[in-house]
This record gives sequence, structure tokens and C-alpha cells, in this order.
Amino acid sequence: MFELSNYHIQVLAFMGINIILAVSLNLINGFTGQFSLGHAGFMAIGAYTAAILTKACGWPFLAATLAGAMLAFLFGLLLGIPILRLKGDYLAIATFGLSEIVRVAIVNFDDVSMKLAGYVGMGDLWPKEITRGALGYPAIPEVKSLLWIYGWAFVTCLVLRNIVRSSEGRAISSIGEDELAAESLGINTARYKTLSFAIGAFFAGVAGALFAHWVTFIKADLFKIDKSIEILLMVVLGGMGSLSGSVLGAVVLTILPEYLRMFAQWRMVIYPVLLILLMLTRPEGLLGKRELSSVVAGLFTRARRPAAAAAT
Amino acid sequence: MPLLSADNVGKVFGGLTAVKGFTLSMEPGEMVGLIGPNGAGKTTVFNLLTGFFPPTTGSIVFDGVDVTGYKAWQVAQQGMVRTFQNIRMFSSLTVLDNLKTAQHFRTGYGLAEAVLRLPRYFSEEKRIHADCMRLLEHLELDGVAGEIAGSLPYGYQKRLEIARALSVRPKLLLLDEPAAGLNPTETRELLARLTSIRKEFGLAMLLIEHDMKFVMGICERILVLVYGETIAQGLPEEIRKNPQVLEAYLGTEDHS
Repeated sequence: MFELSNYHIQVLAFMGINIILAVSLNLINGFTGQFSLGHAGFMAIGAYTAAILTKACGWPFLAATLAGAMLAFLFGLLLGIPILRLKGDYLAIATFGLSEIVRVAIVNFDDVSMKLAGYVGMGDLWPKEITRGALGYPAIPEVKSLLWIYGWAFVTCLVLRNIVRSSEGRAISSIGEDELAAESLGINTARYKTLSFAIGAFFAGVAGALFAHWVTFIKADLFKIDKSIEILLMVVLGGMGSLSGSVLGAVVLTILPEYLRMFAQWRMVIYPVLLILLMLTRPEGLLGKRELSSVVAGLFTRARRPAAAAAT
Repeated sequence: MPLLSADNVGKVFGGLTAVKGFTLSMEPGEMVGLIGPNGAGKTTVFNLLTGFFPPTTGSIVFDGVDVTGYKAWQVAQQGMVRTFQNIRMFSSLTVLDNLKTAQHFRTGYGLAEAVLRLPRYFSEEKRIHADCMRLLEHLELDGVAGEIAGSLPYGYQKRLEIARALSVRPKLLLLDEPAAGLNPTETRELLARLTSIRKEFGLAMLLIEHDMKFVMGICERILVLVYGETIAQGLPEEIRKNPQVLEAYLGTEDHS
């Protein structure tokens, strides 16, 4: 029997977490067409909230995960309303700023909240250490279970698939296709942009909670723009607007850097070159907008596809 | 009671008056044409009526509701739907999904029911599917229901845009140059199709069109817009003979 080493298990865990992150970001960037660079910020909210709840408050893991995800959802909802008025590059910059604010807020949370508590006369009651600032948050109760991670990955994919293949999902996709046309058909685009942003944030929060309890030590610097870009790469590589594409993208971009370890210092040269080559040959991503199931089905039916479009 | 009554609607962009004192009253089921030279403000009128721009002055009452200042999606939900001069298709969705999208706000299930796949999801999806297929059949697009909209020929896309707008179940349909880019055969087909749609769905239409034969052939009443102002209004025969209209289109002989 093939035994998984700790190293393999670790890679599998990160792969599962990345799947959750990539699939949920694809709802925002791919389907809704709203270019977000702030996914790591929502991940950080989920990670810190869940970690504090399990460690300092003794909450069970699942409840803490859901609480972290809900908080990320609420942030997505509240911040989405003003931010999603922006488009394209401007939105990307604003979402990046948003995730930086989250990171800086985590670093300075203890000092600031302490002072605020002092102003209202609660200084003595307020805990001195909540996020522990730049030092990082150590000794989070360990939940090293691939079952949890892949259970959540499954739930994420299922929920998003069900959303995408529904009337709500069509409203969301239509925004990505042509916002003005969507509006002209009675779709409240602002509402659905915000909703998709918040749903994406929810699952980023879940991923953060899983990540925190796997590595047991987190710090704000782990959730910088590098992480957002890493997730974005998975989405773009897999295909914007394809859920199975994002799963594929997450799998490939988790494993690839590991394989490239054999090239030692050349790793960070080969990795970007491979990405450039992939994007040059398949700019629409591995699957484009199609799902894996339809690609596989297409392989079998391609030969006898009727030329329906040409018929008058 | 009129279906639409736009009263003294105007729009100023910076210092430029794009539309001035636009007044129009339409009865249910009426067919009205909006003509005028390029840049006269016809599309701006559409944008004002359908909530894409808020008007600077005036008021718009549609079907008994004051829709002045409504957002575009709110106006559409009231039953006033427009198409675009340059087609705005959901290009990578299928033809059928383009129509289904337009039924979104009338869908009888919510997000939770979709995620949990409750019975109402299935019954509603079935209803929407049947409804959209019927509409596609009516417009003879059922043969391409599963095709990606962006891959269709131009004439089909023009027709699909009308089908998608009809899928909202409007009471008033605003068509922005529906015959633009169509060949004479296709234009004749469109004329027949619009007449039958109007009979079938009992809706009113306001259309912008440059093809005079088309407008004269289908509209009961015509409005002529020049530099944002309505210079003439009346029956097709009256418009045809109106000296001001002829001047706007052909210029005057006087070159002083």
C-alpha cells in the first residue's frame, strides 16, 4: 500500500484549500467579471476570526469556521456596496487596498481596540492580546484533517455549481457578459455584484479558517497581495468562468512549484516562464468558459456535431 | 389612460442640450416611430425613457407609475424594455440562456432554494425553460437554442436580441434600429415578424429607424427629432409631406 508522507499530506491539504480559494474567486472574477485582488484579505478575516474563537473562546472548529466565514461575508457585503461601483483596473486597486486595510487592521488591532476600550471606560476589562499584532498568532488548536478540507472543498464546489446553474447564477453571469444589457433586462446588477462578492468572501473565510487550524500559526503577512495573486493565477490558468477549470488550476499550481523544487534556485525562473508559455498558447485558460464535463462529452460527440448555426 | 406619457423630458450634458422638451404619449399596443438625422438625440431619448440616464427636466409616467429617476433595471421590471443599436448579446451564453436570463426577476425561487435544490427550483426551471422555448419557436430560433449566442450570424443575433427583450414580457418595447445592417429580405421578414409579435403579445412599440420604408410601413405615428427637439409629429403621410422634415433631411435650396 502506498503510504503518504507528511510532506504529501501537507501538499494535499494546501491543494484543497487552494481549490476553495480559486473556485470562490472565480465566482467574483470569472462569472461576475469583477476583477478582485482582495481575496487574501477575506481569507485573513476567516483565519483570524476562527483561530481566536477556537483558541481564546474554546469554540468548536466547525462553529468557528462558520463564524469566520460569516464575518468575511459581512465584510464583503458592506464593502462591496461602495467598492463595486468601480470597474476594471480601479476596482482591482480598490480591492487590493481593501485587503491591505484588513492586514494593517489585524496588525494594529490590539493597540487600537485597547485605546478605544479605554475611552469608554472598559480598559480593564478588555483583553490585552487579541490578534497579537505583527508577531503572529501562535498555537492555534490543530485540526490536521484532510476530511475537513476536502469536505469543505466539496461543499464549496457544490454550492457554487448550484448557484451558477440557477436563475441567480444567470443574473450573475450576465453581469460578466454585458452589464448594461443585464440592467436593461431588469437585473439589479449592483445587488448581484455585491452578492457574488460576499459569497466569494464567505468561502475565502472558510479557506482561511481551515488554513489557520492546519498550520497552527498565522500572521498578517501571510495574507498579502502575493496570496491574492497566487489565487488569481489559478483562476486565470483554469479558465475564468469555469468552476472545474479553477479546481484544475488550483491542483496544477499547487503541485507545479513542488515539482520544480528539484531545480533548486531555478525554480522561480522556470515557474513564471511556464505560466507565460501557458498564457501564450491558451489565453482563455485551460478550460476557457467550459466545464470539464462538457469538454469530455465534446470529445465523444465532436464527430457528429450538426451544423445547426448555418441552417436557416 | 396612456401607457407611456413623457412630459417635457430634457437632458443637458455639461453645456450641451441633447434633448429638449420631449413629449410623447403612447396608448397600449400603439406603434410609434422615432426618426431624425444622425446625432439628433434619438438614442438619448431611449436612454432617458428606460432609465439609463436620469432626465434633467420633465417627468416620465409609465403604466400609471412615475418612473422618473428610476434605475434602468427598475424601469425594465415595470415593463418597458429596450434593445441596443449595436447588439449587446450575452455572447458566451447559449441562445436559450440569453432568454432565461431575461426572466430572472420573475423567477419564483430564491438563492437558498437554488443552493439546496428544493422542489420549487425544479418546477420553476421547468416553467422558465418551456416559456423560453415557446418564445424561441415563435421567432424561429428554436433550432439554435443550444448554440453559443456569439457564434450566430448577425441577422440571428439581431433577432435574438428582440427575443430576449420579449422574454421580459414587456408592455412597451423600444427598438433601436432593428433593421440596421439587415439585407432587404431580412428587413421584410423583420417587418412581418414585428407585426405578428405585436398581435401575439399585444405590446406597444417605439422604434428608431433610418429605413424610411420600414418606418412608414409599420408605424401609426411618427415623431421627428432634430437637434434634440421634436420638429414634427403625426401620421406617416403627414410626415412625408412636412416641409420642415424635408428640410432637416435634405437641406434647403437657400444658401444665403
